Amino acid sequence: MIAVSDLDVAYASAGRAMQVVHGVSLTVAPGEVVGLVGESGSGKTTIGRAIQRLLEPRGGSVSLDGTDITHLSRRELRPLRRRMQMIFQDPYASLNPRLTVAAIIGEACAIHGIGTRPDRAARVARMLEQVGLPEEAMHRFPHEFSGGQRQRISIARALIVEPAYLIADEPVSALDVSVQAQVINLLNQMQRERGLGMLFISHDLAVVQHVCHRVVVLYLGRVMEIAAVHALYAAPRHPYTQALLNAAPQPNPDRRRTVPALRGEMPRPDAPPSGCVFRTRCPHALPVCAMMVPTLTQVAPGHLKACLRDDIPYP
Amino acid sequence: MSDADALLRVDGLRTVFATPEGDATAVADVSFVLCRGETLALVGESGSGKSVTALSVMRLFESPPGRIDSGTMRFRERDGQVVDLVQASEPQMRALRGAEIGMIFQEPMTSLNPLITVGEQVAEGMRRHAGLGRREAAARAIALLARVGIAAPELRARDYPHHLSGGMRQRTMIAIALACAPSLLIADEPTTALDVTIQGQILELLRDLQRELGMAMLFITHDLGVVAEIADRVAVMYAGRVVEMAPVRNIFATPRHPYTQALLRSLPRITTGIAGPVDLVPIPGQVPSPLALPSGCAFAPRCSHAQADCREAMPPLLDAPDGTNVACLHWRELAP
Repeated sequence: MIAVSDLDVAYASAGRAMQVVHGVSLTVAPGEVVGLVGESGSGKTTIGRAIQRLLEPRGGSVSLDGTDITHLSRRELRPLRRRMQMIFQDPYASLNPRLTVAAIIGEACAIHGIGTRPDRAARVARMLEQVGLPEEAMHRFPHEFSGGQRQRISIARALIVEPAYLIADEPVSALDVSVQAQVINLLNQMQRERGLGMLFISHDLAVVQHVCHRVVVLYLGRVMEIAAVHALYAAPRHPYTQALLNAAPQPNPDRRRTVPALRGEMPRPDAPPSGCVFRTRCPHALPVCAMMVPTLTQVAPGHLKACLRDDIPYP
Repeated sequence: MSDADALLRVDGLRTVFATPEGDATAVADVSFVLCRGETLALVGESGSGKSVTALSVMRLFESPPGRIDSGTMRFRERDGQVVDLVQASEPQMRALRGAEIGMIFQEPMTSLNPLITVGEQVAEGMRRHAGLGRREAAARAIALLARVGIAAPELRARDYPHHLSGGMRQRTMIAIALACAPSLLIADEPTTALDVTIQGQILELLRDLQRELGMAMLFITHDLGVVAEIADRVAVMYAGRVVEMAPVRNIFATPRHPYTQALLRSLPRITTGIAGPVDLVPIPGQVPSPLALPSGCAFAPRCSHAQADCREAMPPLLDAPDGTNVACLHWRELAP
C-alpha cells in the first residue's frame, strides 16, 4: 500500500515559501487504481512527485508497504524505486533520444540488477510484445515513433522491473483520442494482468472514469472529495466535484450548456481564501464557509467530502 | 444557401510543405463555405490538416517551406467586394487581418507581446485599422477588456501579459481579435490549454460575442465535446482532407463516415453507470504520415469496413441525406 499522510509541500517563490499541498492524505492499495484529479494549480503533480521522493515535503509522510520512505537516503530508496515506477505525460521528454529502445528499457533492468546481460534482450523483446510493439522496435530511436508508440515504450520501461505500483502523471493527455483509447486499454490490461496498484494523475474526468476504481478530487492543494468511481460520478457530494463534472464538454449538442459550470478562477496559492478555499467560486457558499475550514468527513462508507453543507442536491 | 450569405468560400485548397524527404501535402482538396454569423468547426486529430487550413485562410504559415499549390479562398469584404485570399498581396492580407479577419490561438502568450501592456495591445489594432486617436483607442480598449470579462479593466490594461492567468490572457487575445469587429474570427484550439472550468467560460464568451457582433467563426479543435458546445456545422478532417461535413446534430446523431463513427466510439464519456476500469473502443493503427499516404482512401488501412475498391481511388465528397457530405464509397452500406 502507498500511504500518504497529512502531506504538506511548499516551494520557495520570490524568497517566500508558497505552500501548494495542504494536509493531503490518500492511499493506493495493491491492485487498486486511484485517480488524482484537479485543474492546474491543484497540486496533483506535486503530490505524485512527493510520493516518488523527487521533492522533499515540508510535513507529513509517505510510506510504501509499511516502510516510511519520507526520510530515506538515495541509497536506501533504490530498492524501493523498483517497486514504484513512474510514467509521464510527454514520453518524448522522458526518453533519452540518443539511446535505442532496447538500451532505454534494458537500462532499467541494469539499474535494478534484473536478469543477466545475455537474457536482457529476450526480456526486452517480451516486454515490447506485451505493450504491442514489434520486436524490431528495439533497434530504433524514440524519434522514430509516434506519440502513442512512445508512450508504449515508457510503459515497457516502467513495467520491465516488475513494479507493484505505478505513478502515472497525465499519461494519455498528449495523445489523440483514437490513440488515447489504445493506451488506456493497454494500461487497463497491464493493471489487471499484473495486479498493479496505480496512482493515475489526470485533469480529465472522462478518462479517469475508464481507468480508476477510486478518485481523489483536489482544489488548491486540498482534498475536496474522495469516493469510489460509481459514487463520485453518480452522486458527487462536493460542489467543486459537481462543477467539474458539469464543466466537461460532452459530445452531445442537445446538452449544450447555456451558462458556465463555474465562475471566476482558482485563487493564487499564496493568497488562499479563509475558511473553505473553494467558497469564492462556490454557488452554494454560505457566510459560515468563510470562517470554518471544512474537514473531510464521511458521508457514506468510503465516501468523504470536505464541505460544510449537507443539503446540496445533484444534479 | 445564396451567394450573398457566403462570407468565405474555399474551393479545392491544397497546401504543401517542402521537406527534405519531399513535399508533404498538409491540406488536400479542401472545400467549404462559411456563411455570415455561422460557426464551422474543423475537427480532427494531429496531422489532419485542420490548423494548416486555418493558417492558409490567414496566409500565416512560413513560406517557404509552405505554399498554397492550388485552390481559391473567396472572402467577401465589408464593402461587398470579393477577394481571393490565395491571390491577395501581402499588404492586402495585412489590411484584412485584424480589420476583417481576427484570429485567436491555443497559446495566447506566444501571440501577445510580453513588453507591451495589455491595454496598448488592444488599442493598437483600433489605431491602425480604425484610425482612432491614442486617447479614444485607450478608452475603447478598456471597454473591450470589460466586455470580454476582465475585472478592473482600468488596472489590468496597465498590466503586462505575464501578470495574467491563462484564462485572462485568452480573454485579452479575444479583445485584440475583436477590436475592429471582424466579420470572421478564426479560433485555433482557443480553449485547449485552459482548465475545464475556464474553457466553459471562454466558450460562453465566444458564443455571446458572436451573437452580438454577427461574426462568423472558423473554429479549429481536436475536442468533439467542444465541437458539440460551439459548432453549427462540422467538417471532420483526416490526413489533410474533409471526410465528412454536416450540421452539428447529424455529426453526433447520424455520423456517416467510418472515421467519424470510429472517432465517436473511441471517446471516453462521463456516465453514471461505471463502477471500475472499463476498456474503450480504439481505432487500430496510426494516422498516416503526409509523406507516405496510402493510395485511395487514407483511412482505409484503419477502417473495419474497407473493401478492395477503397484502396484504388480517392473517394470524392458525396451527397448524403440531411445536408451531409461524406467521402466514403460505401456510406450507403453503413448504418449511421
